[in-house]
Amino acid sequence: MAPTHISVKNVDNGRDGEVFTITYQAAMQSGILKDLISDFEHASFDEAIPLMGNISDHTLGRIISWLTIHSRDVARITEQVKEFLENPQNRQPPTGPGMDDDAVNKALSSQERTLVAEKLKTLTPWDVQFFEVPTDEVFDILLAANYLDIQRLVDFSSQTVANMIKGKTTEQIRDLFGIVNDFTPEEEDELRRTEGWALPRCDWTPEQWQ
Amino acid sequence: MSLVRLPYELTSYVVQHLDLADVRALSLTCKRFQFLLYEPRIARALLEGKAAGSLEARAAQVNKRYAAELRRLIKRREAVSSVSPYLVAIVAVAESWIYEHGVLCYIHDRQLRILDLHRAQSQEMVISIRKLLDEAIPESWTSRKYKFQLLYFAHDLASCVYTHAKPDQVSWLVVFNPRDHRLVTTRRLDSAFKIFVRNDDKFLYYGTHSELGPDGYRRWVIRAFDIGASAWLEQRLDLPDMVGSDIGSTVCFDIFDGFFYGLANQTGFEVEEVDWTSYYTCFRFPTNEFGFQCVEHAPRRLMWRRSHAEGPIDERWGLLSIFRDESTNLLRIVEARKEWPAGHSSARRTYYTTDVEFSDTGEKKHRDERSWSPPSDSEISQMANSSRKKHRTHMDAPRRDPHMVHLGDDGSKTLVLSLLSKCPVRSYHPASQTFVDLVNDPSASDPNEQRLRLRGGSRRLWTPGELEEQVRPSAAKRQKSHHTFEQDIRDVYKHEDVVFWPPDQNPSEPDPALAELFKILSPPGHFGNIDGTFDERSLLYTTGSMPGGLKPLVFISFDPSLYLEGTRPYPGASVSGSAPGPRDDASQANSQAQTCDDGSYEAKGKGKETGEATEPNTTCGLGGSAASGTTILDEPATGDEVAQWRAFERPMHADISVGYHFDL
Repeated sequence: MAPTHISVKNVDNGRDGEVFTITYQAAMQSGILKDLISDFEHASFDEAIPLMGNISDHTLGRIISWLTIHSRDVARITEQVKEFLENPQNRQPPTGPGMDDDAVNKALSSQERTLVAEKLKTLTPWDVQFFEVPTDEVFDILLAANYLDIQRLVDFSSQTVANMIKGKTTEQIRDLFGIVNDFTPEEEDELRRTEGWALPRCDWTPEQWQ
Repeated sequence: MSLVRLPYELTSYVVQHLDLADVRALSLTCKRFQFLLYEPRIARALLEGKAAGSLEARAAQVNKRYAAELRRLIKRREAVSSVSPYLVAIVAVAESWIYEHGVLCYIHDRQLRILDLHRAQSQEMVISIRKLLDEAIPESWTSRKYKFQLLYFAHDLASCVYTHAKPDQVSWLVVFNPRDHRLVTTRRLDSAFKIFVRNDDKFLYYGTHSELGPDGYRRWVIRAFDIGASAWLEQRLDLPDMVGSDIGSTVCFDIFDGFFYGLANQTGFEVEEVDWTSYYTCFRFPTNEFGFQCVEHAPRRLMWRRSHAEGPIDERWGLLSIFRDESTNLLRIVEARKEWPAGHSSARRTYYTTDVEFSDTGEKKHRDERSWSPPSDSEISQMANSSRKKHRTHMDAPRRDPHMVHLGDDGSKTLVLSLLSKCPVRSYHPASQTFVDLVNDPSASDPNEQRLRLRGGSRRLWTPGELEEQVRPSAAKRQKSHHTFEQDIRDVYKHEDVVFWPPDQNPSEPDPALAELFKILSPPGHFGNIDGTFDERSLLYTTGSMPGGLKPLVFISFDPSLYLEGTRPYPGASVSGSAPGPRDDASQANSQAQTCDDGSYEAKGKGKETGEATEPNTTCGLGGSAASGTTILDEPATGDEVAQWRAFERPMHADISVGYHFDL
């Protein structure tokens, strides 16, 4: 039987770090934690599972809080979508008396899946606040989420980094992320030239008309 | 940790959330990120995810050069939004012309010449009109004087109308495949009034505005030709509800993805004093043999256009078309209207986008994830109810979506927006959120001389950073004060200043290259009668001359990959100083155009086929003036109905050799 809670002991660069407790449901959002739980299934879960991802305690703590907040999202959003689709006017394609049950169910479940997937991709106000941290910390969360195989958090972190970049000039992006311009003036000149001509010149012969 | 040290996989995740212009800016920051525009997998994901409906994405599906096409797309959009073309050239001298899907068809010296400009072909197909007609229309053999009108070119099919006046005025539709040297069909026309042609690779349709209704107004009627079966369908499609007669302004027809679409922005033939609501009328049918039996009409409640209470419109400035959205690959309507918004004394052009929707499900598709939600389902259903309860065509105005409305400038500061003759060619580019016009903007030093320039304005979404920094007044603050829809739009979009291209000359230190550029844009000796066509990548226009006379064709391209032989880098001499490169004998014998000492462009006599004098005949033997795609010709039949009517020649622009490219 699955435990209600599990404990995870952070191991950062070979040193034991903090122990975090998380609900089973929250932990299952992470591919790595899911695998670890499965590996330790024979144990009683009395001891904390070691997590050797070289993640700082601070970052792991933040990720645990993210997992906890979002642990019931799929169920909650599915419920909302089902409620929305109870109104026949919201169904696409519309379901009506002329359709057999199989067709209705098929259409509904397909639309339901699409709507749930769309809503799960959207950052909530809580997420926006979650990422209101220094830039380095956003990258730490992104890397850790990637290691822990939390696809939704990878996606949210990527969106946050992208939002920092949006609308900025090359120079502004360099300033924001401390990127050093390592092009020589000649290379920049060449870059502008080749950027201008994205494709080699077309040279079509009469044969190519045919 | 820094962005530079992110693993490749994570960088690609981040990039998928960026707009294409942002990807380009990031790729130029350092060597590490150059791969973003050169890595095929990332490029493919970006093209397919963010620009699936673009010409470049479709080209990449065929040529598999995803990275190159991505760079081409980004540069093209940037060129449009900054109104900075990559190439300007005189591509031909023509009596009449059309420009469809990047292919220029023009008539010069009794020949129809076809050049694919989007692909910068190094050969033009040359069709002898007389020889073509000899094969296509035996009835033309006895007519020396006739009218030849270019209608359409798509999927390798060229469609034209031949008309002769004697003994009776009769018109034929002529459709041929110049690539295969194959006549596809001819059809004697009952009427050629406002005739148009649209085709895909399976079916060809022509429509005329010729059916008189019981109320005395003309209606559109469409007939179909099955290309595969080489047969005309007996059935025709009458369109009694399609109000509007000006294609591109009040009505439009087009084919997308196997469906023929028709769209009109007029509600009724009569001005209805009691009905103050306007809708689009939109229909479609599949391009197959049963198409006319499967006509679908878009539900009116999804096609709300405007309420007349929004202010009067100057209909002459209208633009109407259906386009494929580059991001979503869905079809949309774009309409430009010059309106006097309620309470304003000056007119403003506004660009309205509307989804083409045939599914009457009660839920509008979500268009943009950013900061705006479409009307709720209950709102839509309320609209429908109120529509039923009230006047038969009345519907309460739904909320507009700021993403679908682009405010142009009001023109109060510039003369070019007050006179239609000053702004003869207009366009809107949804993918770049930019309007671009060709305007006549004489310089202050010589107000009587025609000076053609591009004039454009773009907008972009406020960046998340700008929103946070509250560069613009916040929506919350505005809500406290008087809040308008215009403010809604300005809360979401930053409107860039309107720009002109090329820039003004500095009177104290005139730039000779800039003067040369202005001479290409406004060819000396040609004035007025400006006519042009924009597409996603380019503009082609002519100015001057009487209808049917010779006019230089000015081509402006925003496509960075396009190179035309004979153009020179700017700044420098726009006319080739060196002799043309080596050519074969045939092309030397067929040199058609030259640059005159005064800078004008003139056609040379050919004499290749007939040896006769080839002064274009501008006498209009049929009465009335010729349209831009129409030429009046005076030439006897050859009497040879199986002669080769197609040849390949060096393109005329290579001989004219006048143009600049701007690759830096």
